[in-house]
Amino acid sequence: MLARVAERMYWFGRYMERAENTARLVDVNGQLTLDLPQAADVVWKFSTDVIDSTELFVSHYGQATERNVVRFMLADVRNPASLATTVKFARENVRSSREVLPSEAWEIVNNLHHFVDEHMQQAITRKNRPAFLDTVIGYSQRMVGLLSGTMSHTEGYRFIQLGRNIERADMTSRIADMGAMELFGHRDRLTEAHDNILWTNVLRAISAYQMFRQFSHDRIIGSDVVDFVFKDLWFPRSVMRCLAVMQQVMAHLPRNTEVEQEMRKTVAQLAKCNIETMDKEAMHVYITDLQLEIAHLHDRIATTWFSYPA
Amino acid sequence: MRFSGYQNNIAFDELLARGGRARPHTGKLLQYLRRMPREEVLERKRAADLTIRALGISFTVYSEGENIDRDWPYDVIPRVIRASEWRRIEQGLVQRLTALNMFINDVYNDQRIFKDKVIPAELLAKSKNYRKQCEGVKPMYGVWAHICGSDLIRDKDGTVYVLEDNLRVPSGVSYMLENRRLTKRVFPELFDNFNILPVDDYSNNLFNTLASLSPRPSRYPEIVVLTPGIYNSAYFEHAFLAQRLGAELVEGSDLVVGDDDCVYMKTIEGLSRVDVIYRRVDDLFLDPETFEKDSVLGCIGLMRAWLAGNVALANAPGAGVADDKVVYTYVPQMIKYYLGEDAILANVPSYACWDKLERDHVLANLDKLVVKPANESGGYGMLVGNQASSKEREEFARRIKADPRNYIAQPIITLSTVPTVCGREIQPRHVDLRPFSLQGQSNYVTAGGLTRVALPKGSIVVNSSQGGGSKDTWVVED
Repeated sequence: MLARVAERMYWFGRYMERAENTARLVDVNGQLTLDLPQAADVVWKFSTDVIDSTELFVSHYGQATERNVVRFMLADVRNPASLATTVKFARENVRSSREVLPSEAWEIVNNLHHFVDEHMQQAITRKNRPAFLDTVIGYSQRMVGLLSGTMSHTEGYRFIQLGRNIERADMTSRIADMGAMELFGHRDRLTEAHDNILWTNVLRAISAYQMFRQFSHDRIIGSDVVDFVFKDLWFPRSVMRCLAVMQQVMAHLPRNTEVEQEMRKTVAQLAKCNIETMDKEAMHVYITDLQLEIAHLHDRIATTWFSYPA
Repeated sequence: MRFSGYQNNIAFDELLARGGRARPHTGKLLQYLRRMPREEVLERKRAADLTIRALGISFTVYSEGENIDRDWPYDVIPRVIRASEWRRIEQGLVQRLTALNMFINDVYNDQRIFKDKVIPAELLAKSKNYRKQCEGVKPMYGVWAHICGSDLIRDKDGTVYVLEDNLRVPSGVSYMLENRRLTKRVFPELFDNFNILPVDDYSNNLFNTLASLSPRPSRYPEIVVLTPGIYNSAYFEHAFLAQRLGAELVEGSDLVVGDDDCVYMKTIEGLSRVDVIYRRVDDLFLDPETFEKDSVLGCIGLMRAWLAGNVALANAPGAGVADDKVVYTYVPQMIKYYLGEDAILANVPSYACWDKLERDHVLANLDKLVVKPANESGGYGMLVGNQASSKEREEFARRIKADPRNYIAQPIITLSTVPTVCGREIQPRHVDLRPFSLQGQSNYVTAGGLTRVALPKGSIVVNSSQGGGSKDTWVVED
């Protein structure tokens, strides 16, 4: 497989996943503000914090109102993580490598693009937004199913999987991090009773609520949540699971020695840390380190498979 | 849907004979269309448009500094050709491409045709597509143009003429294939009752042709499609063909020529040798080492590899020398000279402006002629004499005098028409036909080709970049 095509597959995987994650995040926050109207600004700032774009947001919009944030997160093409941008990039990556994908993949991403384009204005309003976001998530899920069921699980597919899982791991760690920080940071305005709601929504933002419930029979405790979304072996959006999938996928790719080594190191680190005993600071340091590891992993993937000396 | 008020006396109509009666091979189709309620026809047209959008069948136009993706314009009513007529056209196309390839090979080697004074040697001196770098090269089978798209038109009296031979990077074949797919969706019932020759075997034949060029004897030659990239107007087609061929779609930056003068592509496993390049990049951008210094579309050293015989390029660089409207005027002589045969397909009578007598005739009759630059494609830079203003005609007279070698003129031919859905009516619209021919170890011609249709009333410009549409083309046994 061409290095350039492999790179496009990888990014296609990332962008599709990012589109879905953005949709989930906006959806969950929309619902959360209904429960916590007094902290709506906190909740909406959370969205832009998660994608590391608060500065960009503030420079264009100023106030973190629902309307502003939703517009920024969904429609604004100046935001590199907005739904409109990610769908556009996902489509461009398929468009420029559609010869390696099943033709229905192009149809799905193309239809998603048209759908987002045509319904964006309605999606800004509270009433139509959930249906809009559901549809977007549905498209992403259809894509995952289509590829899994109709595309040979060879190189092209593997790079899509790498992209999807690294993006997922990244997003999960960001959401958990922000969840923890915001909680600790706004103690003054939030009562203990809100803890439940907030952690529940952290779980919801990565579709982990139900699975967490099945896993833990205790009440919802912050460190348990973080432990689950980081270290659970079987939940498909936990960081550990994402890394494990990447590890499996890499085993079947050429020239994998160094990147596999790196991978093993990251997994071992994640496995051995004890979240329960961490305080706020330690947890933040730990999560930041993990995110650096993930970024590093991305660089390693790129140098191993995508780049050639000029 | 009725053909009320359908004017079929303006040109030769492909489906209707004089008096609005069906032709022998179109009766069943017309009966079917006439029986179908208007709303049903329009509904199926809408369904086709939706399908085109959903499938992303598109072409790219460059306009106002931007690349815009447009949905492929397709008309639901097919153009029908009888098989007996088609067989003659097919023979004519094979004959023509064979002679053209012998000509190109002769041009870059012995130049017999010039020495024998069948074609004036001065022709080369000003040929924009003559590549000095190709002199002395002998590609496999003596074939330079492996893929040819010929433009055919039919005049008022029913005669089919060859208007152009596109030997550089002809495009459109993917749309021919997609049009058939669309018609199968729109009118599936029709395929039971007609014996329509399939077009789908093009991809296999293209693969076989390309594979037959491989310099390495191997069961699995590595074939790639070289595209200028996503902003090229035919990118859709490049991706489409790569997919059908099971070939890698590469850009110039994916390739590298090694010290051994072999071409490699950059894969995730490392460098991997390439045998055959179906290139959709123009000659001049192929290799910055040989041609345009600052081209980023090609690959440094590609010509070196080709000259060393380590890679096949289809079409070969320099093949465009025969894709020149002045050279075109000599094709019948070429066929006679190389094959000892009379041309089966006629050329449109043409005046080469570099000949003083012919030039004077052209200048005196500009209002009755179409003037074309020798090396443009896409319908650009043309003058249609009877539709132009006197100012435009004066401008062209000036250009012809300044650079006579660059212009030819032809009588204005009334292109044949095919019923076309225009708004809520069926109206005649002018069409041409672009069949695709292949030549490698053997020859192949598509069954039919891409019918392009000029959508504005009275227009004869069929290029999709200028408001042209398209139709499925059926070759049916009569």
